[in-house]
Amino acid sequence: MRNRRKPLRAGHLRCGRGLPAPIGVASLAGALSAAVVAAVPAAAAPAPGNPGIPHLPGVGMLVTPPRLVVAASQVAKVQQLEIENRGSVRLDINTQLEGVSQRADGSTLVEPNAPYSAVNWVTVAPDHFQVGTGTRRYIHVRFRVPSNAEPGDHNVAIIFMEPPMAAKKSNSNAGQQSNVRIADGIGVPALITVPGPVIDDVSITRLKAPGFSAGGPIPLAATVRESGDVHHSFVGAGNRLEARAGRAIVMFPPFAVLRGSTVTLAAKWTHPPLMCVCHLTTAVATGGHRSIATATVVIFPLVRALAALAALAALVVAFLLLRRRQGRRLAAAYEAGRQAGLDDGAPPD
Amino acid sequence: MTAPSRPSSPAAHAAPARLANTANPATGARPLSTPAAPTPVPTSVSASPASAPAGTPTGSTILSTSVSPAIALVDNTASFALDGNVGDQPVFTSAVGLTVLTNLAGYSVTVTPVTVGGSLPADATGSLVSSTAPTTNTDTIPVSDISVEETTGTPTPSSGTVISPTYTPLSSTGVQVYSQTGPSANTGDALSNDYEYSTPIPAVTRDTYTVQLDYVAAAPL
Repeated sequence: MRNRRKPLRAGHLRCGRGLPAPIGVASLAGALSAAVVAAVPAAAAPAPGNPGIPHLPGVGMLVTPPRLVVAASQVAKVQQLEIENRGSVRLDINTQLEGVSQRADGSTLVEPNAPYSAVNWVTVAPDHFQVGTGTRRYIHVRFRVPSNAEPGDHNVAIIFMEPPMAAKKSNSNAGQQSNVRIADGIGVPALITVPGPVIDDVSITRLKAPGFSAGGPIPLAATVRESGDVHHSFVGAGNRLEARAGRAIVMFPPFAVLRGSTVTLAAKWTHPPLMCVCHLTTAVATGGHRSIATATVVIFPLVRALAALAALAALVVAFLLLRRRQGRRLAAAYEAGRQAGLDDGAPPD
Repeated sequence: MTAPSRPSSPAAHAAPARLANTANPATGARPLSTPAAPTPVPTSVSASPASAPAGTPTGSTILSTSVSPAIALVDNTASFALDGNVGDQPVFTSAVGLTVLTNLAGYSVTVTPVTVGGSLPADATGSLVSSTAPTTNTDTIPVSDISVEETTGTPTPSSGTVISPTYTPLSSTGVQVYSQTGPSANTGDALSNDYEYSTPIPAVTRDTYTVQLDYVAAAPL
């Protein structure tokens, strides 16, 4: 019998999926775990019930902070995560550690064989715990970086997993035996920067925009690559990635690109000018060098122009028809007048 | 197969908001790694104590609320049945519904199948195995025979990107079913997944074959 993901136990540290760590590391991890618990014994105690916490049917779990970014100077500090039970059932949570990488859209991808993994460096205390409904619990995370670790970013996902529980609703017809069970979890990605000489070599490789727009919002996509050994954050005022076209600025969503990753982010230019040949520029500067990507969009309100032309043509046609009709009326009136003169006995010509 | 109606997604509530401080009620200590809370914004100021005449009691109060970054997952689906006869390709629409609430700039949801019994070779990880006699019945159904998609018509937040708009085979390394680059709706994003056999059920021994699906919501890196 083999379960691909196994919960962590004291003194047993997982290395990826199903691979136990060497015994020395495991023993050390267990010792560290015990040390953390001993150092802060009260921290693991559940908080009293809080009427301000929502009470929702089923499993409801909230984690804060949802990610850990541990700078080189903070590596030795104990980190703390808060787990809140917002559901109607008691949570019985197992902690799992997995490698983590980044998809091309910037999202987190839990991956057992992810590069630059810090799975072996993490101790979570406690690694199996309960959280009563309407309460919170505080979990401690400690990173033990090997002395020979390569400087730069290393990543891990700390997953708080609630196994399938009968208290939830079975989504089956009466008489059917459910054969697919659902477990729920929240993954907390952690970026640990190992102290040492590091390079942030981020560059923008492409800015994509449609060559022509007939009006309306214009989709943009920027591709960013981090070739250094740390992540680059585009979060916070002044750090966001942006595209400029004259005085117009299009902001991309806040994101970070991991070492060795290439991320393509989308944004919309919601209020472009009515008509222009717009040259868009995106620039990224770091470590004394600057990379630039450009794109050109021709904006011409084709639909509006055609509509205006159609309206103009309709006006011309209407004018011509009116003029022809008027001419006919005048001719008819003249003819009628002439005929009336003849009938009144006017001398023939 | 007729799909039963999906339970209505429970509306998640707001991200944790604290008055004054986020101290650990057990220890009184503030979280060690929680980023510094933003500067509290006074939401109600009726008078400045400094401007009140000396000795005059004032009733002015400054109420400030700091909101921490957080991600929450609410799910009330314990299990569902995807069964049929040999050669059938059962479908279950709206088999799993969950709600994700976050004030972060995005999140993703991944589904990873986990084998819950049986003695399997390494390449059968995540397969469906007998739940009644896993030691005697060693037949398995490859998990890649089952596919997942976002339920058609599920309201997609404006910043959302449905990774699996059409059926995508499950993989033992996980399948990302949803991703978006913005925060969720105030009451959470209600997500829903359909499941189907993308190939006919193989000619395995008559039994109930089981698998566990791990749904994991994660913040962006």
